[in-house]
Amino acid sequence: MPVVSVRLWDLFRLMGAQLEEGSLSRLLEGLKLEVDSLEGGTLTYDAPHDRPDLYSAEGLARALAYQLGTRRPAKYPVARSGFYVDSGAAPRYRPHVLMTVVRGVELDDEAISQLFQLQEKLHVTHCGNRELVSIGLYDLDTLSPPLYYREVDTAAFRPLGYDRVMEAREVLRETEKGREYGHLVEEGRYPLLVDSRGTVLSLPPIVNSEDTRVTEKTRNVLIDVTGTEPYLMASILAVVTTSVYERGAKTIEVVPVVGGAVTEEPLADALLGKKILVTAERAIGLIGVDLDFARALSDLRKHGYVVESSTEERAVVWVPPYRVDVIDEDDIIEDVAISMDYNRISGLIEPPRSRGVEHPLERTSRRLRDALVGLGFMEVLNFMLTDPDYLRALGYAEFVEVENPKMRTYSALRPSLLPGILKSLSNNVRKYELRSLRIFEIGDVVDPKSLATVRMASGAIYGAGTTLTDGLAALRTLLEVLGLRARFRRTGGVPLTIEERSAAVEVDGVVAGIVGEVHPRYLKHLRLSSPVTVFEVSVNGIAELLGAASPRCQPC
Amino acid sequence: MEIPRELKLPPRLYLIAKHVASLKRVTAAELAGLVGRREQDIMRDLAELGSRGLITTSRRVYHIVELSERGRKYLERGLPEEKLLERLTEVGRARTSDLSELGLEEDEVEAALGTLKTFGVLRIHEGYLSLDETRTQRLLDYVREVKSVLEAYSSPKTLLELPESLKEARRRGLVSVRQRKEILVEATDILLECSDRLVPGEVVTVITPEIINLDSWDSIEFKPFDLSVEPPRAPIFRKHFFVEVLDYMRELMLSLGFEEVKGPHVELGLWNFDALFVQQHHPSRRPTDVYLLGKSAKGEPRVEKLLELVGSYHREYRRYRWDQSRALELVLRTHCTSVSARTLWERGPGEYRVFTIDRVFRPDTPDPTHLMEFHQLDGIIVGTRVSFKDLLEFFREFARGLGLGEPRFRPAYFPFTEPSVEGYVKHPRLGWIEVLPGGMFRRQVLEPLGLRGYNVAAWGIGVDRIAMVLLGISDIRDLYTDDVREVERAPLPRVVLGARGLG
Repeated sequence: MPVVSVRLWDLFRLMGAQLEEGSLSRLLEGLKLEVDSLEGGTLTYDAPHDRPDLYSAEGLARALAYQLGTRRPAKYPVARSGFYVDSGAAPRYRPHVLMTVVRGVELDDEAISQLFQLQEKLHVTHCGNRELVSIGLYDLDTLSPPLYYREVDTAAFRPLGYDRVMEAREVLRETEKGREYGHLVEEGRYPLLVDSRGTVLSLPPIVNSEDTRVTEKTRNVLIDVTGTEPYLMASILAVVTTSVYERGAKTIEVVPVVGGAVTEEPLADALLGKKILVTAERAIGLIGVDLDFARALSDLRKHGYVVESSTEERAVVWVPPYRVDVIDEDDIIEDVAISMDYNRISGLIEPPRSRGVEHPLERTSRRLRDALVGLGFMEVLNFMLTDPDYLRALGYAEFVEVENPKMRTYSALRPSLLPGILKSLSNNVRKYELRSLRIFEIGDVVDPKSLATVRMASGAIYGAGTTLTDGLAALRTLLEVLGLRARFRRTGGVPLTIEERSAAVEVDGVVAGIVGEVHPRYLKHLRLSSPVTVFEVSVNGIAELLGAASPRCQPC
Repeated sequence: MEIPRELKLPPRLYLIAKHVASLKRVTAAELAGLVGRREQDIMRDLAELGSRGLITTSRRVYHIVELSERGRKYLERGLPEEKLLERLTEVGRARTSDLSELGLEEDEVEAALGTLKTFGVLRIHEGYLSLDETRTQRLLDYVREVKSVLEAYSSPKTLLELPESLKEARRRGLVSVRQRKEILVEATDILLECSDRLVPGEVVTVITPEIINLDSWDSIEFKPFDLSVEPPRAPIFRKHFFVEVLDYMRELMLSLGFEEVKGPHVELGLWNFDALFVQQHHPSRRPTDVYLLGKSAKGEPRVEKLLELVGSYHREYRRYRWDQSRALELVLRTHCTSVSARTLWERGPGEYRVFTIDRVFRPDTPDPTHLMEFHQLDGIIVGTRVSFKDLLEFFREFARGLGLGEPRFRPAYFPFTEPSVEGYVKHPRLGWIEVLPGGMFRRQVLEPLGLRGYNVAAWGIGVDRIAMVLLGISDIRDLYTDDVREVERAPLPRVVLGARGLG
């Protein structure tokens, strides 16, 4: 969730009203904003992903003014601009451009920095770090329309914040933004926004030109978005445009797009806002309490909606263009519920139609746990994510690894509980200088072949004189109390163990697990000085043998 | 009275009885010395043995007579009057001053002269001492008598009555007499008869079958326990405390009528994201937020139709170029809501409520509040009349069941629910903490999964945080400990112990 900072004086200036700290906090809660701090005249909050219109002071002030009732929601005056942008020669990998003009703004330092914040927060969230959409703001009066969005093999301009002209290649190499976003453009096929005189607006999605930048003197702002997803671009541009509009603007203009596959139509639609039919039946059914529909509709004003027409059962609601989160009537009904205060929504819960049923794997796991505790084992827990080097050191060759580990020590999915339980054994024995120890773990492993989750139960027995017999006896008894008869068969390939001193556990002719003495080479690796016998049985297998319904866990 | 084959006595009684049996008659003081106790400490034992008819006791006063220092000296060197008599017999007459040669103290010389005078043996004439030979026999008899007394008491004697013969020695301070009271212990015939059938009782620190079979337990001396000493810890084999807390939550869900389901940890993007209406460019799908396996599921015909449907909803309502191949990418599930989605797809329309408690994964570096692997409790309530109110009421019941008090609710955002809510419970130390996120599944989630006209309340509760609150743990890593001492000793939360909860 993006963290947004606004200055209170700017916020109140935009709202045209002052607010006490207490009522401000209450109103922010209703907007899903979580206050991080409110000090020194600066409010810092976490904004949710679904309300990009609240990523700057403009949108927040607008929302608060509606909540307070000091302002009534109204549609935006949208016109067509007198010039166009030509995207006919746009790069294929970033083919679309959309533009608006906001006329008559009054900007100061704080306003410019808020609009910059809005752009940056949008870039890192909805714009996919500029890969999907990038936004640019310009002083229209520095430009000579029409404008062109085209692919160029080279370009020379003064990047924003630099005092000299650079070649496109140099921009990528020398500027901070160039290094950060250079990978989004193809070398020698640069996207470029220019005007009719060849003045460069920007090299999207990397950096704007210093010469066309927005300053305190700017009165008419040109806003562009370029990218690959026209509707996403249109909704982002609607958010930015309506926010800029809050800075005292008079009109919004849509710039016609010519030459390309996509016209300005998605943008024009977005700026008109949506009309959505809301019914009383759905509102009552979804929230679950009887509500006064007329009252609910009048409360919608506080969320920026305009009720265009209504009856006792239904209403047509206009959704402002910046509410990109609103998809259908349920989104509007959420605002109805918010107006009601979630804490006041209560009633009898629908009674369950059946009794609770525990999953057979969990039931079987608990039986095994109880039995293993009775057999004198302590339970330990380990992570499913483990260290691939450790697994290899113990002779495991096949297991699932993640492609993007955060830490190498947690980048492989355990194919068995045994590596973890042996590490736990070694940790405890050495930490407490124990001469004997019995531990077990019951948990999930991931089968490297099927990628399915399998529930396992494993144990380790440590101490001088420990032999395979200890493991066989434990398993025999463990299965006996579950009403199963274990048979042991010599088998090869049991991981970690001495071939001559390991066995497969069979129940009703089906292999249910393995048991064996850990090979001295692994004992040495684990710095253990006495023998260890380990066992591992499949809880899935046992649950099935117990006639429990087949576990519902499918492999991918 | 029938004499038992063996007579078992507690250890100290046995020891005393043995001594009395062999000595037949002994004082309590002597007995106490023999068993290594003070006399007053064995009085109860003597009473006990007396009541069993094994001994009799009697009280008496007696005198202990022994030589004084002077008496001992006279016994060795002779009496002063005896020496004076011998000298005068030898020399006939002597001056008083000559008597120093006798080696007597001055007062002894005085006393000797006095004695000789008393017996009328001494004559004094012109400064010279001489004897009246005719009278010496009486004095010699006296001296012999005194000396025989000294000899008789050369070692101390215990006497019940003082003899007349002691009178003169006592008068002259040659013997000392002390009075003592004593308890005399005597063996009865019963003791003497069964003295070889006495059997010692063991130290009664632990009750044995023999002790249980005794006729009388009054005589048993149980070793008193020193309760101020910390007792040792008993070895215990236990389930892991975190597992117990998870099991308790499971129990709570079952009591609320939920059926438990499970799903895989390695999951298709489809179930973790797409079916939940999460855009493919949503931040939660970036490599910094989800573990990727770098491979795709190879054709899962079962979901082909679903893929198409899900894709069409993304295209229509999210309006972007939805890419089927991304839905087939394999990830480690970031939440258990994937299991809820699978369950809805499998079961379709109906009235049911299911839950799952299981592990989820998110790329993170472990620290006190973060782990790359943790647990979620996801659940859904499905039905035609299910509403947001039911979700809030479920949260209220769940919080009460865990003893967390009344939750407070705030609006929240999740891509797959509308309305969405975050429930907070009050922690005594941490204040309001976020523990109950949920909402009503969007129709864009439900319709492709085959549910039209149904509402589904859904949630994904991070249970590690709740377990930390219940267990009083402040570092999330401690929940996953493999330290057997910690597992041995961790107390279970009150609510899990049943002290409060499930009301």
